Amino acid sequence: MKNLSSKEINLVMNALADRGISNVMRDELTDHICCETEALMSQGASFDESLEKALATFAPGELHRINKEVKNIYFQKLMKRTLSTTAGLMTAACLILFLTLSSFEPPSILPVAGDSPRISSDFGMRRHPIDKKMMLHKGIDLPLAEGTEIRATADGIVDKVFLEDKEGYGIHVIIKHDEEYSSLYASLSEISVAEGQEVKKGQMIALSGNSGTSTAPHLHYEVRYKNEPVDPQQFLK
Amino acid sequence: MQSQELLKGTLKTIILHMLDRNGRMYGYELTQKVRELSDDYIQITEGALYPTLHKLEAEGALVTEKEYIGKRVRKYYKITPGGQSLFKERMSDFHEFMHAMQLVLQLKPKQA
Repeated sequence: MKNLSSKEINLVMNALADRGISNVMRDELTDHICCETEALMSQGASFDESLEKALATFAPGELHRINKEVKNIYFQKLMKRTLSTTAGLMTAACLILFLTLSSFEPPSILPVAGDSPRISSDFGMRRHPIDKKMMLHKGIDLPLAEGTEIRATADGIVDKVFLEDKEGYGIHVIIKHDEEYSSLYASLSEISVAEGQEVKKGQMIALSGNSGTSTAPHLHYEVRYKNEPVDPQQFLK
Repeated sequence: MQSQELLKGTLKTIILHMLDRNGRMYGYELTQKVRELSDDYIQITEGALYPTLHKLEAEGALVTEKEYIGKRVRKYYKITPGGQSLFKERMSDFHEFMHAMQLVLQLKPKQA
């Protein structure tokens, strides 16, 4: 059975994003379309042909309809739960506001300014540069001169500031963007924000360094979805 | 290709049965297994499948588990004890319905 490469998976995700699929359904439909594409490729078709065919099994507007239907199911469930208490009424009102106004997007820029900085280590399984063991590299590494300005990759609130090393991350900071997404910036030399502080996308939050488990000055950058690290590069625009 | 109209009323029962029997399954796997079992007759569309899965989850009949396969996230569905009793109820309803339909439409078993 054929397995799609990261690049191909990105193309599937882009195709779904073009069709207006939101967070609620993104993972599931990505996996579904990937499976279908792989099955067609195993029969000898090219990636492009297979993806087109897999997407064509949806009638026009179908993806959007599923997305809407599923969103409604969640909305009703939340409403039911919150409406059962009087205080819940307030929450329900906020929820409606939140659902109609919010269009949060995962961190979509790189944490440093400038045109496409070099990435020295991608997200994924790799041999650890110091331990030499195969393990998951939970983020991406950007080699940077010490003292380079680091910026927040989406709006959010500073969740935690670590001025001493913990788990090899060195000096690091975590920003919470919403209930699902957070980002982490590690191996820093200085942090210029405080816990609880609100930050805007692109705002300077720290200076890069060489702290923690590090072989050379660099920034280690992670995006977490429901506390699980995911590949930050999939969100870059 | 079967009538989507007919399938609609039984989709929940089919999903509950598959999960009761096979443990956890993900969406695409469900569509393929059902297709195989029905000799390609029942082809569950994504448009019917995912909303139904999410409804069952909202009703507490299913729970989900996520697994990362490289860059991909696979969502597995598992039946809960509540889902199992819902399944039993639906099965006995369906048996009775089948029996009644046989009587009303004077159906004879299909000749092989």
